[in-house]
Amino acid sequence: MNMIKKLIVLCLSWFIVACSTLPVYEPQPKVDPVREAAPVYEIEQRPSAPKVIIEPEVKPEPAPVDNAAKAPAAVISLLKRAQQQENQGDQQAAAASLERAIRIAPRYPESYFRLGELRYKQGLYEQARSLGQKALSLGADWFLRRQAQSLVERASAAQ
Amino acid sequence: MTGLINKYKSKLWVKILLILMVIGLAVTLYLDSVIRSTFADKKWSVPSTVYARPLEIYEGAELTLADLKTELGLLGYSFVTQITKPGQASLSANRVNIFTPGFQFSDELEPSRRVELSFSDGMVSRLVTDDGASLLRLEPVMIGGIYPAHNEDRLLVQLAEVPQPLQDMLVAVEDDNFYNHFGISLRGIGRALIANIKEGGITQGASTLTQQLVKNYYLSSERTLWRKAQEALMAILLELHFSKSDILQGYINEIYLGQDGPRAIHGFGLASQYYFKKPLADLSLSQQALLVALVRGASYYNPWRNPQRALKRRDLVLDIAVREERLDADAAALAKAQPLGIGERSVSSSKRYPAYLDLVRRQLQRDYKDEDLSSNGLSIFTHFDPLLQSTAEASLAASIGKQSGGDNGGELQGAVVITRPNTGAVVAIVGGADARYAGFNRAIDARRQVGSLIKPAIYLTALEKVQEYTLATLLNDEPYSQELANGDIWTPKNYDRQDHGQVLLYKALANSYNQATARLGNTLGLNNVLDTVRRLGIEQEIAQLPAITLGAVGMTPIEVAQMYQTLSADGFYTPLQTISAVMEPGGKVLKSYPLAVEQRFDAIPVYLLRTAMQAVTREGSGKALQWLLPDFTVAGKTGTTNDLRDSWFAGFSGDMQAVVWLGRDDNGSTGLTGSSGALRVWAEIFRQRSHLPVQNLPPENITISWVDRDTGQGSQESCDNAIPLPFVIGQQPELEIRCRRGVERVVDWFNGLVK
Repeated sequence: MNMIKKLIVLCLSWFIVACSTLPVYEPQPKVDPVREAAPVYEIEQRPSAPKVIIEPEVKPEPAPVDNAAKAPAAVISLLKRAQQQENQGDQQAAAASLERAIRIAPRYPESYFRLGELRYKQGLYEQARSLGQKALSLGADWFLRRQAQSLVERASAAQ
Repeated sequence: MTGLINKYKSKLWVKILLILMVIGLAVTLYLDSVIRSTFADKKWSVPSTVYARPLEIYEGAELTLADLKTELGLLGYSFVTQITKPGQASLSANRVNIFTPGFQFSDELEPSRRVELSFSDGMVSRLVTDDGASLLRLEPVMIGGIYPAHNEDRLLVQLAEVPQPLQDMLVAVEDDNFYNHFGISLRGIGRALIANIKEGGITQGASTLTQQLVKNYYLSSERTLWRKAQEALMAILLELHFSKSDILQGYINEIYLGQDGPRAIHGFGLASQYYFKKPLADLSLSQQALLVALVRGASYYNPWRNPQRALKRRDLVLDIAVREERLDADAAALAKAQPLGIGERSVSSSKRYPAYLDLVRRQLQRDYKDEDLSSNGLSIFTHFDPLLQSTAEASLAASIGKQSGGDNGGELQGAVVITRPNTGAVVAIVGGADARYAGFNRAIDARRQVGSLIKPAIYLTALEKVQEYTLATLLNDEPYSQELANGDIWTPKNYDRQDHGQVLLYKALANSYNQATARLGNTLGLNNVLDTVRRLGIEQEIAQLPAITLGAVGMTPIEVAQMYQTLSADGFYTPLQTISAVMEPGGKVLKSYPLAVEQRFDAIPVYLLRTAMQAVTREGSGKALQWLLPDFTVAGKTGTTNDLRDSWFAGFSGDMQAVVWLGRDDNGSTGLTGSSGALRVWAEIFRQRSHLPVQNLPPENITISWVDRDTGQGSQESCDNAIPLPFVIGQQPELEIRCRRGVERVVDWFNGLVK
């Protein structure tokens, strides 16, 4: 799967607006200020790829599920580190970094997706598929959503 | 004739002598092989150490200064005004400076760092590190060890790590001739022999360090002449094969230096940690002298119990070292002016968290042999959170104390299990009202009827039939009876002894109506209900009896936690884990316990069920949470069993899942319902420790529709009796009730025409 590398910065105001349109049954989340305040990054997956930065004022269309958890910068740095470790061939260390990211921000879908991709590369297709499903269930949207769907399909086919 | 006898006698003597020589040679060879084969690659059995989760620190981490201080205290940091060494911290109103010593984790080495932290609003608002790291972990708190049967604990050190003055004092006091003798000291033996003859028995030993090592390492402690000879022989053999520094290092790791409850403190490395909470290399001269003093009698000179005696003995050690010209007199005088400098005698870590360690041990036993755990010095990393644990312990104890203060003076007991929703990490366990008591672990072993805690499984079974059931489906709560296999008639009653007629499905769960649930469960089929229970994570075989729909089945709190774990994680099953990794002494990971998830329920039924479980806490049997946890959405379920024997609450927020049980060991009545008992403990834990409300993300194909709260008919939002409920698109009821007035009503009328 050749993923497009992007860095998206979504603006905070959009997120709040999106939240406020939720139905009554969606608990008005006393949303964790950090997760709320921190910009959303899509992790750069290959340093050589061009970065696309969507300016905050360019409002993307709201996705069907628009309130996936946001992660603190520490988690983003762990995902980066996992990528480096994987590039160096140390899958075990990469998995440890990703699990650490999950422990810190357990509702951040991207960490699960990345762990799922790693499991796929290790030939652990059942876990790969489950982790892809988990990323989707946590509200993965946009590219991540497509990537996770693709992971689930590929892993199911490989099983 | 006599000549013949004499000749015969002398022959006999020669024979006896020869036999004795052969025996002696055999014994010597045997002992030699014992010594050579064991001491060379001498492996002291080093117990395994169990660690808590490390505290993760980054900007935005939810952490208060008070919690950080508690954690640093548990880690043995010393609080100073200016940090200069690892293991120190300085605190001011909103800022903390820490000098971390660094730690080898199972995935990587966390280096030693100087760290500056600022706090605001219960968060780390600023983090500055000397190496620019934006994320770091403190060392993990040691929460216990897994010891061999004889409970020896030790921390191995290399001779190079042992301060020279300590070595010198040890030799001066225990064996001043150590570097010159060949294992035994003839002078000493002579002296002891005379003393023993005078006393008429073996009363005085004259042991060299080598002999003491042999005695401690190979031999029993009985005082017989044979044992003494064996000791001397082995000491000589040891000296033949090994250098003085090998022997001294062995001694330093072997010698007994204290007792911490059942745990025997062996070796100077661990003794340094035990008495001073510092590594050996960091001890002052005075502290080193105290450890040397303890060699002669760790109990008699125990510095906490007998400080005067210990002080005197310490000074004597310093004096002897000066007399033997192994220590500078001025340095000794300075050291003698120091106080004992021992750390606070804390509750032994092995006794602090018995319930959690119990579960760790059971999970380890699935993968390891007992002797591997107790002798290979493994590091066992767990998910245990000491801060959360102390909140759980205090909340349970306070609640039980309050209840027992009333007229219900019976022995009220309880248990708590806390996990993390998405990872299945078990973070805290309380096994009883007295959390330090290492007896009956109710969290794992108390198998009690779960009552209404089972009900989510019945409603989930229904909601999985997406075409048949919605949250607004009307259920019949009229009186219900069912004939059992043995001909008896089972007639469950509602807790309030009322019949509620036709009720909305979500409401039947929220208010825990028994009649509606029993009827629903029977309609769905007990085998289907039990299949749901199994998929939620319950592995025990449950008999297909109608009463199981109302929870007439025994489960332990940890089993209930496993079941609710799956609900808290949006239908993804994850086995509950205490351990994250097991590491060998060199830093090699022996086994990791990776995150494993498995989607066992589709997103839609779980989402709908969680919506109903939120209603439990908003308007149903757990309504008290509206004022116990104001403005914080959680989902859960109360459980109360017949005659108020068990009071349960199980539920979750966005970052925590917990099961609380209250009951009596004799199964007597507690006088408590799930709501009046367990829920209070649960709420207190969540009030203090949970930061993220339930996040129930609607899956695709879900729409919110307004319905009448009594009839479930489609209703306009403006109607008094209307409530919003989520439905699968296409399943929402037709709009039947219209309440809009005036112009809006005209608009509705036109809309109707257009349709």
